[in-house]
Amino acid sequence: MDARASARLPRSLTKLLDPEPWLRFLRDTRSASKPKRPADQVHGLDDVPPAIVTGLVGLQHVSLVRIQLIYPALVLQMADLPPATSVNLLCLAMIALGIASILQSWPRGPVGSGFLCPSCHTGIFLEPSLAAMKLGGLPLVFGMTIMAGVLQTALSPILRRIRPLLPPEIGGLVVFLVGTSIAAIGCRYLIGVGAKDPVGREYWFVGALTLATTVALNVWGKGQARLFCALIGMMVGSAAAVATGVLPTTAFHALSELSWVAIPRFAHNGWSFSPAMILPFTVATIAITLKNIGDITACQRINDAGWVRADMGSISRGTLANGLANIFAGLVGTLGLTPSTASIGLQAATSVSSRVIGFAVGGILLVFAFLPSLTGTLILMPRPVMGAMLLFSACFVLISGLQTITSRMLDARRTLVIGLAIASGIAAEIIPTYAADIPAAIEPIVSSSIVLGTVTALLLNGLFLLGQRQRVTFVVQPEAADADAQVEEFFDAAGRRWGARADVMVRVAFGIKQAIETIREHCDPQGPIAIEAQFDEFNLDVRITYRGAPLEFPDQRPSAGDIIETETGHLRLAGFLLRQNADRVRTWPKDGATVLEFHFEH
Amino acid sequence: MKLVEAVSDDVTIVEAYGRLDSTTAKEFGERLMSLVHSGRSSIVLDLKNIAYISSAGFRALLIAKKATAEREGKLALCGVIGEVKRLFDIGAFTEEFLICPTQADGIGKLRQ
Repeated sequence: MDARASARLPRSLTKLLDPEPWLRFLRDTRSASKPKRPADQVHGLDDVPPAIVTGLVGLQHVSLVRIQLIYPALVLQMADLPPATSVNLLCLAMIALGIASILQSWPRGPVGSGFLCPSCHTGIFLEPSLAAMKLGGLPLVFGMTIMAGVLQTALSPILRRIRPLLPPEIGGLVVFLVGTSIAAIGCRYLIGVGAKDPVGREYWFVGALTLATTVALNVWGKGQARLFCALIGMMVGSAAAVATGVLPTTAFHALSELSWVAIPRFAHNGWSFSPAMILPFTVATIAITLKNIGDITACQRINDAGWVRADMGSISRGTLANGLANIFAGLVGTLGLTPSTASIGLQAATSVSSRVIGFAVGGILLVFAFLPSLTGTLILMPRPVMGAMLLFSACFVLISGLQTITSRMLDARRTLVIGLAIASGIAAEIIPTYAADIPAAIEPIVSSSIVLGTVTALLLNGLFLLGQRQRVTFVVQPEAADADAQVEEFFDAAGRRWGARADVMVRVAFGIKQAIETIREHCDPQGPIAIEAQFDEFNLDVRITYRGAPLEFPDQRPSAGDIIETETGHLRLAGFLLRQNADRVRTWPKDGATVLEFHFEH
Repeated sequence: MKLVEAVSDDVTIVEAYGRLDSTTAKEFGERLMSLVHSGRSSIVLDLKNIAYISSAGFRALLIAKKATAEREGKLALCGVIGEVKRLFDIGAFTEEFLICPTQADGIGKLRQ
């Protein structure tokens, strides 16, 4: 490490440990900016839908959330517990899910994104939890889940500061990988891969009927039919499963042994911690934090037709809610939670995103926690029906991730970060045996497509950040015939290197070309024009230095007559366009030269 | 810059290609003025292939509009899309010109 880097490290650590971001975060009031309601939205964020709609849409979300109970179920299977104990732990998981969903939808104070953003279990925590299970049993799984929650809680107020390490395209990548993972599980369930017994035509018929019903209602359905497409699809599929024997009636016998009403017992064998599990759980926490950013960004886009940039306020509050929910999940005895990307996909599909439904989802989950037999019926959902539901939701998740990735300009470095991460994630998904001979310590990292893809992207992004300049300069001769082409080429390359938003870079290029044209035509420039641009995730500042007369930036456009008849009118039009094009513009003299500065919010 | 002209009875359609800035505004303005002076003062100007317009371009358009009006004609614009549309918006020019979605709409408006 060189001397400058050595000096920077303590400063960086001091900044990270500074309590001020936390205090500011706790004082923070919610954004006052009003989102633009999408034209096709049926029930928007602040709407209160009719009770029946709230209940049924809530049930659709609960059905999706419930599918992810497969992850704690897999870990509980490994623990080989008596059925009653397993059902009790699943009921406790429902309590954690209910509390988490309510926390996420909370519209006031420092906790909660304020969106309809139900929580669910996640495959991201599966591999680390299985490893913890092998090493220390359920107490270690629950203890490390608490650690993950504490870590995510600590990350929430400093997300803005560490944003260069977690750029939006990597958030989009994580959502995309979650989409591929959900789609892969959906496909396996749909065609019967991994089923206990061999499957046949009836099984595939049930899956195809469920998918076809849901898709048809979503695409061609109107009103209530489109709203409840997933629920209707599940009901049609489940009925077909009973009729065809895919869901045998004997399966219902297990329910008879469960009580109708029972208070979940907060009783398990406690919590433990192991240094060996810190790395895999830390990586999983970073992955779910990135996923959190992507999920809440997707909620923002669904609820704001005029969305241009991520609002870090709701992202931080949502991340804090998820961190606290994970501490609670570990305390009651279940695996780590995350916003349900499939539910967000369902919101996009049905155009119903009222946060009231988030509270309803939480309420339904809490009620189910006290009704073991009802929770048991959820567990009876036939595999092909689950597969169809997961595949349907995965479509919207995949596209949401791709949209976030492609909203940024990507140069060769960023293309490689995303491309190699996707390739490694897909490799983990389709060649699961490749991790067979690797050391046990890193197995939880390379076994999960989401975790491996995220780690690949973070490492490459960190590597490529080394030596990357956020400040770039160039000089242009005002009379050069290709001055505009030079400006376009320069800012296109810079935008790709920075991963900047394409629409902002178009505004920047116009501003600089218009400024150079105006200086050349009206300011009698002496010598070259120097251009310096500086970028961080939230600001793009361009400074132009030249020797010549200053420009003015009127806040009123000159009249058409003034523009046509006088040079002053034309000059004032140029200044007006420059002022309108940037978010802030100013000019001042410096050492006999004139400096123009344009600020663009990013 | 390239200008492609077509005539539909009493209306002249001009499709502009390239950039409309200080280096091309003079040539552009002269071509439109020659059309007006030759009696073709009802013009539909299609900007869909214009990639960039600066203050000099807007000035040339205002001059063309004034010239057509002086000959009791009219200038209609169409193909105002993408970045060019954004610049019309920020320059408060959308109310200044007769803007139509397509050439056919522009021809129809000029014949009313």
